[in-house]
Amino acid sequence: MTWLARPDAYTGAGVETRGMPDRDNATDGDLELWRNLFGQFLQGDALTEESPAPAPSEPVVLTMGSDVWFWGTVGSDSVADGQRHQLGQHRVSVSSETRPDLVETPEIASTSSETGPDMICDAKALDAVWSAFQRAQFEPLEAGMDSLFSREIEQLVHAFGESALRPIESAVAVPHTSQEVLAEALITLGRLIDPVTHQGRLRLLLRQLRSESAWVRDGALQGLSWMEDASAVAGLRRAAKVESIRELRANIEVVISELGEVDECLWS
Amino acid sequence: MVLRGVRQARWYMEYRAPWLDGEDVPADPLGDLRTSSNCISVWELETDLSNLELLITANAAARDKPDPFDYLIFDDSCLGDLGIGIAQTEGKTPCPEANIYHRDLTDLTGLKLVRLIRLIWSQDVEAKREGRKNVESKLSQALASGSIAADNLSASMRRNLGIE
Repeated sequence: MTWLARPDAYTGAGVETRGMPDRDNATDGDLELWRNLFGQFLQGDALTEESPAPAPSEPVVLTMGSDVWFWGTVGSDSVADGQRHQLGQHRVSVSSETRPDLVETPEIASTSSETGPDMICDAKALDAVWSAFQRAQFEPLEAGMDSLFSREIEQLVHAFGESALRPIESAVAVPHTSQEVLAEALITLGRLIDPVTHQGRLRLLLRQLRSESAWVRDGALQGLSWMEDASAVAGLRRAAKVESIRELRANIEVVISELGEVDECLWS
Repeated sequence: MVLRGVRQARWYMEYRAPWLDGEDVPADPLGDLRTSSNCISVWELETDLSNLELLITANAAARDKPDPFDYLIFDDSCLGDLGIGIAQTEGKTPCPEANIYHRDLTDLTGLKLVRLIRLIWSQDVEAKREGRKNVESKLSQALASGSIAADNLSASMRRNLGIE
């Protein structure tokens, strides 16, 4: 289920519109805003495929250039077309440049009261992931080479377990996060050998095969290749069917073939 | 023909987009043409591409992890017209047999870099990927045959290949 909102349709409906801070010049106040946003994203299992997250108490629309985010529940009578709509409790990232169809024709969902489990993010994990992503903006990342960032991600997952995965995945949805850094994070997640978080990392990577960013999809694919878990094959087949970039589609087929050689019982 | 290691995601054919004006090129590929002393490293391919596997293996062996290896192959015969020189220099991979194929594209400037991308773009070449499993397999074979000595691999690569 996907719910998309065009913020100007909800002016006056209690929706707050804010610009995102420029990460390179972030002030303490900006950092606080980011913490709050991450914290909100992480309350509730916003990251499962089927269960939308509980909405924040006040809906939020974030804009950054042409990127528009909506997250929240709008159930007022004051939406633009005069009809009462319940927007899903879900966060979305929409780019009017890349997906004008979605912005121009928002889907209005039926009322939903589905919520995910009540999970509170680990503030330390959040801070540590934030810091790692900040530092990575300044680190040249080369394919196949060790990086401080990949080592940090490894350490964070070992230290915080699943709590580190949530902010990492949330970073994918944050506008202007470097796609290269995100891809590196996903590859690193796949490369890790950590049975405790194996299933969580696998689900995360499978979800990111549907990212709007080709870099992120490629990072997720490489991560899945490293995980060598044949249970990913079904998700990869689905991804191959909808993949629009020919080279990526071919890469997915290669990974499916690689995983076909893996003992399916290895991780079960 | 020459080979250059790249990030495939910067060269997707999909990105040869209609928003590009005339002979303009997207900026992302510039990220794969990082220069050092106004030179870029490439690898000379035999006309029948018989050394392609060797060069893929050698380049993959020079890294820390057996990740997929992305590369472009383009025709270098017009480089002289762009004012770009080619010099034979010794490669620095752990595979001595491959290092003789190393070349530097020299005398590069900002404008020449853009022209170089335009040249590559005009050849309609596709960035290829050697998958992770294939890379691992090639490295294992090279180690077994002795064309690469384990001691010449980085400690991280040795760990990743399970030979340490």
